[in-house]
Amino acid sequence: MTSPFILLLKKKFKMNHIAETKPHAVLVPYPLQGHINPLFKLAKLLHLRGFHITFVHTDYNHKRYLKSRGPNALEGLPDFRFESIPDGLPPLEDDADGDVSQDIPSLCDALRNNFLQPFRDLLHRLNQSATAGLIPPVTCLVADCFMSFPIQAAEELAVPIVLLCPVSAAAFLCFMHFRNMVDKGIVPLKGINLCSFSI
Amino acid sequence: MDTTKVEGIPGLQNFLMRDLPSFVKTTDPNDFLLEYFIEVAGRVPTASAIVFNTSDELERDTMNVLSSMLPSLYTIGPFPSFLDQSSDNQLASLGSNLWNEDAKCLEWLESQEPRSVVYVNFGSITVMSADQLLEFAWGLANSKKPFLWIIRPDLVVGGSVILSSEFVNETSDRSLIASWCPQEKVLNHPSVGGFLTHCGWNSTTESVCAGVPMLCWPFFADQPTNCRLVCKEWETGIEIDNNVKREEVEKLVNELMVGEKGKMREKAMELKKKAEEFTRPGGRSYINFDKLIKEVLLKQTSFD
Repeated sequence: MTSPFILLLKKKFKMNHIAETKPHAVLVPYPLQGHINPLFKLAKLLHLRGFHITFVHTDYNHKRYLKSRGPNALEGLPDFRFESIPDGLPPLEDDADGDVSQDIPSLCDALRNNFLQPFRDLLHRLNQSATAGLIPPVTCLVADCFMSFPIQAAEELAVPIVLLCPVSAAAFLCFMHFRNMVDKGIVPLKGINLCSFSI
Repeated sequence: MDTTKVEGIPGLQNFLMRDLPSFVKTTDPNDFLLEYFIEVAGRVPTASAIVFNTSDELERDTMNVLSSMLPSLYTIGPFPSFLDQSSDNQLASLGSNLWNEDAKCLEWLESQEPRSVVYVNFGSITVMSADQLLEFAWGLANSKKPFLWIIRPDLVVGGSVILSSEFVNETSDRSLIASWCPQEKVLNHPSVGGFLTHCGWNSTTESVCAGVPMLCWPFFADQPTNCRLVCKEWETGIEIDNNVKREEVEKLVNELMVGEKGKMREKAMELKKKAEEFTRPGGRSYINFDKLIKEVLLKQTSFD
């Protein structure tokens, strides 16, 4: 029996005969503009090589896209689709129209605690659609390297996961050495905080 | 303290403390973000592979060090050149900007002389004080160069952006202020001669791929590290002191646009050429991307 959800999808996308052989990459960015941009470029490059693409925003950013780029902004193409998942964060207090970057500690906390389950559910829904022949099954994940939940999701689904480093290799090398710097006593710093930006 | 050398960390021999990402420059032993980044960095080697939006040309030494630390990595950038050289009209309309792009920026650039315009954009997160904004504003005004300045509504901490009528009268015939723009198109416009930037990695690579030299005012996160790359390794930019003063802005804008017979521009153009070579069919990043697809993404499972 076909579920109502699948029927809705069929009606919406009119896609009954998707080539089953197409690889399907699900891409999930760290939900800030500077992280979304390079992953979006990578999505386009993979699409050019014949991948079916699902690009996953947060509900918060999804709304911002519709607002800034118009109601059709995330319609995509039959083989370049957008989905969104909740970030589990409360609405911003001082943000009447929801058009600013969310703050980083809150996002990191949410990525650690809130994202895995909705992402799992999304992957499950995508593979249900695949079973119904609407889209190809998910064959790989691509995610920002500054979050861990996609690695766990890939392990559960037994598909490969590629991380994208959104910063320079030089900066990434520093990040990889943070533990080392703590062990060597270089940080935490003694004295004045050097960071001009207090989060 | 800021100019202390970082000692004993492989690959960071010539780094000063000020060059490190801001998250590590904390005095709090229980700093939440430092702990977060240590945790995610520890998980990175458990993924099937990691890819970098850079090239072996741009960051050769660093990539060599990283190769010895990570089981599987690919340099497949810089993306702006890569995508620019791949034709896909179908996807051209799909964008990723969260703010509305102001199309009149490109129109205005049409009316300007070749390589005459300073393009100013501090990215999506940078905030500054009203005083700092004023220093940038008058530094730009006093440089007498035309400028295109992107000012987000939330750029100034705790208040709206107000520029005096004196400033507006002084600069209105040679400037345009907008709230967001299609940055790659702007950087690649022939009228743009320099980029005053916060040195986010996207802005940095987009500037590299457009062959535009940079004035760097790093704000936080990875930006100080990127600034070091631009100014010390590639020599395609100059840094503005964090405590920004209008005289310095004026002086450095002039140095960027006309100084030393366009030496920085020349070096920037060389990097642009290399970026194109690396990302066209047969180039190193292009080949690495093919390998990534074949060796990792099309593999049936990576955990068996």
